[in-house]
Amino acid sequence: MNIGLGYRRELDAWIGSQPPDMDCLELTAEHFFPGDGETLARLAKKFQLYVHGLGLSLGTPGPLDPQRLDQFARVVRLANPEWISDHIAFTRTVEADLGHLNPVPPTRAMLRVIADHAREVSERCQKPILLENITSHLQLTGDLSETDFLNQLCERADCGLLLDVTNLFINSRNHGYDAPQWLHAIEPGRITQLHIVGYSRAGERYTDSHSQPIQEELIELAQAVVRHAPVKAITLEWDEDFPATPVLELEIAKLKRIRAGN
Amino acid sequence: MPEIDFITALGRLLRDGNLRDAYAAQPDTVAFRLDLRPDDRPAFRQLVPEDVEFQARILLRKRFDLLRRLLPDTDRRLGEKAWPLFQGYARVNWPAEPRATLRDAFQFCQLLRQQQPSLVSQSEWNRLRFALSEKNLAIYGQLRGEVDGIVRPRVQIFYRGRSRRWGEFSFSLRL
Repeated sequence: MNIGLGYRRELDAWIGSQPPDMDCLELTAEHFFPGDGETLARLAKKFQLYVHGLGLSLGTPGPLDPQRLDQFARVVRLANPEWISDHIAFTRTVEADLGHLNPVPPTRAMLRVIADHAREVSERCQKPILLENITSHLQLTGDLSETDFLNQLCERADCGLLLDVTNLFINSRNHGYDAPQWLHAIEPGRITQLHIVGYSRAGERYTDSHSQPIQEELIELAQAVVRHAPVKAITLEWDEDFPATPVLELEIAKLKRIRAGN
Repeated sequence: MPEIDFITALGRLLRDGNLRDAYAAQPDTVAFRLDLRPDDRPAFRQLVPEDVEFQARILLRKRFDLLRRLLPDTDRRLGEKAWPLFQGYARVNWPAEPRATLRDAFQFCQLLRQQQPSLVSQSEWNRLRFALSEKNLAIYGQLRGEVDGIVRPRVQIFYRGRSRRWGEFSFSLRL
């Protein structure tokens, strides 16, 4: 199982030092849209890469944005990752770009939309694709449970699941369900990669600010995932208020604990 | 007008604070007014207004963070007032593509300038004006241009090449 983190320019110096125990990097495709093939080539020499999208908006009915898909495919071509991924979400509608991830209802109609889009992206990039669960402050209803939706989606799209452990934890707390029970309703063979970072609080709500150290209850949940499923990679997803090297090293040590599974 | 799907309807709610207020008061009326597909109405009516508002605030915060990167001086001048002022503007204004973030910054600054011109950095305002224009060259002068807290006469020269990418050259005068 590979251990690594989401590549951010702010962490470039530390990443360049090739920290021990770090095997992989996840690149956010949109961060490389303007170019920067040199950085991609440099990183590909040192690490196993995965390319992660934020804005393909797989949950928007209708065709994918061709320009974004072109840009995404270009980054994939340059990085030559083991797999690619994006979210089970929409970031734009036919009327406007909302600029961030929003949840989709667990319906059969939505399942077809996302599965067809995921297959299209995978075929275009000639890479396996993983789909990621998001944090949602809206609890949307449909004709499927969330876990049935995810299992059927992975089957129809012939893809894996990028399970964001932090998002699962946050949603379970905000919407009052049991995360381990949810986990055991997911087809284990689909869970390929994990995302993790500490959660935050905003009043009564749990949120994902991507700026906190991983808490102990998240480590326990991630360990449960690793015991349940043949996970191939765990990546730390730190996006804001970047910490100093000792803190990053501690976070990587936590990923090693998760990999050990106990 | 054709019926709209759930995603389009939720998108409208998330970017229009007035519509969210109307939905909180009368969800059925809003669902009818939006001409939502009958199959999508049950899911739409089950949206919890407080949750929709929370999600909408997350989107606003993302927009705000993008603007702060474009307007660091203005953000510094506004201080703690920046976020509430932005929310007041952005809750009912959603920028159109293309160049949505630039338009957003421009419209926000335009509103601030109507209220109190000194809140907006003149250099940043000039930059936005040029970036959104089709001009190939523009020169702006300021008698009291501020750089790193030092106030001096300042000249900004903007240029745009054949690729339509633009650049900026600026200098301050020591009198």
